[in-house]
Amino acid sequence: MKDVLEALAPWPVIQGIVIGLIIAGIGVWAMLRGLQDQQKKPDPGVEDLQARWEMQQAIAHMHENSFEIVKLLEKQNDIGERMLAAINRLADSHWNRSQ
Amino acid sequence: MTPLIVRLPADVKPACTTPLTTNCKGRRFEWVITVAMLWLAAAIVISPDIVLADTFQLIAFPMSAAFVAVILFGVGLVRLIGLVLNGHEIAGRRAGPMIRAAMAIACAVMWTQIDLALIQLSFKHGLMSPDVPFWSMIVLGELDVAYRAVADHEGCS
Repeated sequence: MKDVLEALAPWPVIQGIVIGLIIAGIGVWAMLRGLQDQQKKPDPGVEDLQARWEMQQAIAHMHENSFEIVKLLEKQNDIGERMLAAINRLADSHWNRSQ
Repeated sequence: MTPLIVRLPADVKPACTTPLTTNCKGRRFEWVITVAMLWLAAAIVISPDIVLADTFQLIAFPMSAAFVAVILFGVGLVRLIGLVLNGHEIAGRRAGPMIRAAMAIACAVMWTQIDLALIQLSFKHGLMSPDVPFWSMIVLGELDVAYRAVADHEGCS
């Protein structure tokens, strides 16, 4: 490589072309290697598919329940507010009676 | 055994499906370089004297400023199309990864010319240009993209 660079030193543009071609070659090799590696990837087995299916089921369960939890919390807050209002009314009537 | 599809209510949108994250996830390097190329192409069109800079001495020697701008804009645009098309199938084949890999090779060659010009200048001045490490690593980054774009295209490369 050093010899090539030294030999091409008086011609900087040719140096650019040669090194550019080397880089392009490395790039094409990397791309072909990537394509080969992509094809070599193993297919997911039955166990893997089953595990994925179970995970999706668990997610669906959590998803449904999370909306249910929000609904119940809203209901709980509503009941709490109503109870507070009832206690206030009770306290008011007690205070009025003692006047 | 069919996979269970979780259907979300219409008003619930998962955070990972915004257009920005869908198109950029794992491909930020390519997006950043693409924007830089289009920016540089626009800058050369506005002031063509930019190509007289030392960095462009190898690229601009055999080409005019307009040609350099057209090449940068063309490669940048094709790369942008590849990035946006990444997951789409055309005639049963995913074209995006191949376009991305091919454009990464083209960009690696272009950045090599800039890097080489800076290295030649460094030898001339007897002092390494501070841009050399950055351009060298960008070239390596592009070669990595050429591999990963086609090897990992099912996930996020």
